[in-house]
Amino acid sequence: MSKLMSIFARISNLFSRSSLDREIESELESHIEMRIEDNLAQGMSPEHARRDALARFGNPTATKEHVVFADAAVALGSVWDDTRYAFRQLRRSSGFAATTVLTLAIGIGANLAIFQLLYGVLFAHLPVKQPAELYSLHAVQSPFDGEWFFSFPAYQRLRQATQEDAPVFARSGFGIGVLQETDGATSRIEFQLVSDNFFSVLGLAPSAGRFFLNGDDQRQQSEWPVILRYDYFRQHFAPNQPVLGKRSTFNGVPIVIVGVAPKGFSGVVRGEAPDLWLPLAADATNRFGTWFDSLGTGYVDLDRSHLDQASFFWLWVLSRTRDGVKFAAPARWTSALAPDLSLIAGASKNTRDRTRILRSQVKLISAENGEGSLAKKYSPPLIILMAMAVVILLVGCLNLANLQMARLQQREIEIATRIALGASRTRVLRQVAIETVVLAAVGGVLAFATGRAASSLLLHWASGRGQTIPIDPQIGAAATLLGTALLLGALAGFGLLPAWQMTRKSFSMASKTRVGQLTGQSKGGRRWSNLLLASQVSFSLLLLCAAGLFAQTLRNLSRVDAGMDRDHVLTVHLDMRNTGFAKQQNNLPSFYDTLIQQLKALPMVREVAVHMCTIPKCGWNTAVHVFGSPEMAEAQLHGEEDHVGVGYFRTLGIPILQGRDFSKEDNQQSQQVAILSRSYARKLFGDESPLGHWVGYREPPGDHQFLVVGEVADARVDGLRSEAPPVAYFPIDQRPEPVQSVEVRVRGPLSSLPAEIRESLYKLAPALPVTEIVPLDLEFDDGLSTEALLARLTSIFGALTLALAALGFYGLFSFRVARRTSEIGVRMALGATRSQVRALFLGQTLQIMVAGLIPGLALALGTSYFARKLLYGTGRMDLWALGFAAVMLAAVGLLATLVPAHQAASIDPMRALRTE
Amino acid sequence: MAKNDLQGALDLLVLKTLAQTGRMHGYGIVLHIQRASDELLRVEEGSLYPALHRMEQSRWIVSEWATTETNRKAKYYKLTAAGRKQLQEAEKNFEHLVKGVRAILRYA
Repeated sequence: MSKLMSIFARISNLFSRSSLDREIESELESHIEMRIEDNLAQGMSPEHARRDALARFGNPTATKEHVVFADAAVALGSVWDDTRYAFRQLRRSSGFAATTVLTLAIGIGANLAIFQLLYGVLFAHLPVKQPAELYSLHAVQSPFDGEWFFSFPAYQRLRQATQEDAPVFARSGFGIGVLQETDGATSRIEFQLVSDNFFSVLGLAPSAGRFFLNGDDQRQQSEWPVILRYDYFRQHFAPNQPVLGKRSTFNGVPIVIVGVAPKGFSGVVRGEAPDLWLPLAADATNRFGTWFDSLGTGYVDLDRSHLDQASFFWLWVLSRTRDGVKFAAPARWTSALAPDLSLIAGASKNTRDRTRILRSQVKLISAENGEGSLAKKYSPPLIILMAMAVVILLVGCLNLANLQMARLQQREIEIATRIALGASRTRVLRQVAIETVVLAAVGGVLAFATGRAASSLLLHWASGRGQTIPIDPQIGAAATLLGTALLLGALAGFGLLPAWQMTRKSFSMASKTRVGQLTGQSKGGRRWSNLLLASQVSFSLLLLCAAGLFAQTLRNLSRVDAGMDRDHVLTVHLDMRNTGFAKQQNNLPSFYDTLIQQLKALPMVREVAVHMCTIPKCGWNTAVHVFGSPEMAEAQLHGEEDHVGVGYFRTLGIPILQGRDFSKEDNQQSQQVAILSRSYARKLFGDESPLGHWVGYREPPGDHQFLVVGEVADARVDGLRSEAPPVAYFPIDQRPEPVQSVEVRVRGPLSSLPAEIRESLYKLAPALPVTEIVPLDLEFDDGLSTEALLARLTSIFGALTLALAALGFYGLFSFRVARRTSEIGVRMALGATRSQVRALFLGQTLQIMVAGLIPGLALALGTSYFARKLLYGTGRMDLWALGFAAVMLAAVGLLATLVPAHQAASIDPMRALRTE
Repeated sequence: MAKNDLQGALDLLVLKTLAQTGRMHGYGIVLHIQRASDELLRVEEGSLYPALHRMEQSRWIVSEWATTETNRKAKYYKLTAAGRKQLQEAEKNFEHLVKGVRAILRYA
């Protein structure tokens, strides 16, 4: 009770008369008790009801309110009171409230989603112990693929030269295999081979079972221990199902599950998530082929395990290196690699290359954020999108600032009256601030929900068919920080600045009523809102241009001539590598022949051909030496190779330029032949015809191996973005390989055939795993997933920005028309025509447009220059896109102004003047 | 409102309320203004009592203690003849002020 008394004392002190009248005290007491009663009736708690009643005495006069504010409890009650008032006010202007909440939800949500992905791609550390100590070892790039590969013997040498303070470990590339459960069910599984110390050096603890031990490195094992990725384990095993010790067959090799990796760990390569890990020694079975490079066909034996072959490069080596040995350890490793360097140098023809390779040193490249090319691939488009998202938020906030200013000007009288009734400027500011905070809070909550949903959607869009980018779409700490900062920035920008501007005016009006000052401020206000709208136009133009350019890029790319007929071909993906077929290479030609006959018997099928590669990514790099020209430079010899069946060119519609196609006579008994693509023929023979020349895989005498019998047109077998590579084609009957694709040329629609093809192949060979049947066109489109993502998102941003521009112009001009009703009445009474009135407002819009479009054009041109690497074939389109965007924006602005301008023009002058 | 000052608005609202309700205590005045203005205007309760006090001294209003419907003691105010005259005066002045302010806002 003493607290209550002290508040009374404070309040009564505020009266100008110094004597504390007993009567006044009891009057106040009765007032407060009545308020408390009402508050209780409204359902407040007794404590709350009392606080609220006291708080309402919060502002006896503007100058003395700080006395009461000294009591925190009272201030709190007062805020609660203002919040309720704010909700009432917002319900009155629900359109504004909805616009604000939506702008924040979409604007900040988009930023959160894109930032989350960008962060995941660029900055997220590997979820391992002290990721900053992790480094990739780079010594010498592999001859064909240019990867920083090591051979297994080289890795062993590195490991021997290693001390405690810088342990090295290794991983293979990413492989795909077939898992066969004990009940016969099969599934496709992604795997990786890792050294036995892989998990222990990363400092991980298994979430179940154990990691690899030293003994797991034995080459002869009856069953191989494997470790599962946590998410894979969760998806494929019931919670209480025993997983450890479970046995199955993987690529025909018995395996046993010994452990599960910790949650959130999906390997050290960003963008890859192997379902299971095997020890490196499992390569001894020769059943787990992954990406490799080699010194060339003559140096390696493809049928033997990689483990003993120093010319097989297939391992990436990493190390955990403490700061103290960052210089000593690489030097040790470099000298340990001497035998490998001289082996690789020896295979090079060029003296300069040879010395360069011999001088190579081991370098440490930080692997803190993981290895792999994910960042290189996705960061440019994501950075562009991030910038776009910031711009759209900016546009949204400019729009809101304008609406807020208009709204506050409408409330001018209310605010002036409240100030007159004894509310201080801070009180009124606080009132407006609370309204804004309420909106921002609702918008913020929605923004996080939108962001979470959008980042999942983005991941899905960015991933393309079949494969996903393993990034956590959950809004993380960094993104939360960003979201909060953006929210606060938006809050200050669109909410508080206009309010500050406003109350300065109203307060001066209430206290001084200086006419001149008032008028001047309002003119300033109009300039302000014109400026805000013009900047909104500038940024909108930028977004629209970007949308136009990226849409055009996608269109150009998807219409690129691939050099083959991709509209009428189905690709059947097979995974023969680890089946019985691959083991009997000599039987392959007859198997392919039966397969082709079987498929050709289907109705609607016109042509069928098998080949070793997949389109649009083969990646089988090679070198072709020309008989009689041993002096050719290394780079001139490099190209890609594919082993194709009879009818391949016919099936894909690749024209034969000269010479002949492969035929059934090109078999293992006859002369080995080759067909070159046009660009390969040009590289090797210039303008001379390649027909009749001899080529081979190796230097003389290995260059007298194949007779060139044909030349075919170039085709973009590596995807639409890259130019057609030089390709050497060999008949698959002469050099049998397990094929990865069967191309089927179809008459009519593609949709019904996959099921029939599957059935037909199953009848032929039940054990043959058909992984997928896809239209070739779709395969090419898949390669454009980043372009599609950019085009899609920027189009969405473009549409949003147009909507915001329409809203901005409509809002501002309806407000202006409403305020100037009687002025327009006077003008019309004095003889202004309706079209003149309309022109008055449209003229203002035009001025704002021009003021916004000119800097917008500069911005857009600058951006398209910056983003030119992501664009394709839009060089001359830039100006068209700009012009189109500008015209569209101007049209939307003028249309949005036309509605209020038309209202103004239809004002009845007499009525307008009478309402004076 | 000779001072041409919006500060007089509170006096005006209180006088008008008493003219409409006849007899009312301070708390009732607050509620009335809030309801009658459709929640738009809120009297700062801390500044109400000094204003009532001042008006009583100017003899525009008089007060007496009475019991409320809920049987609580409260101080009731009502208008005097001088107060009624003051109300007419204040209403006229306020109209002028509003007109003036409107005119400025419109052409601003």
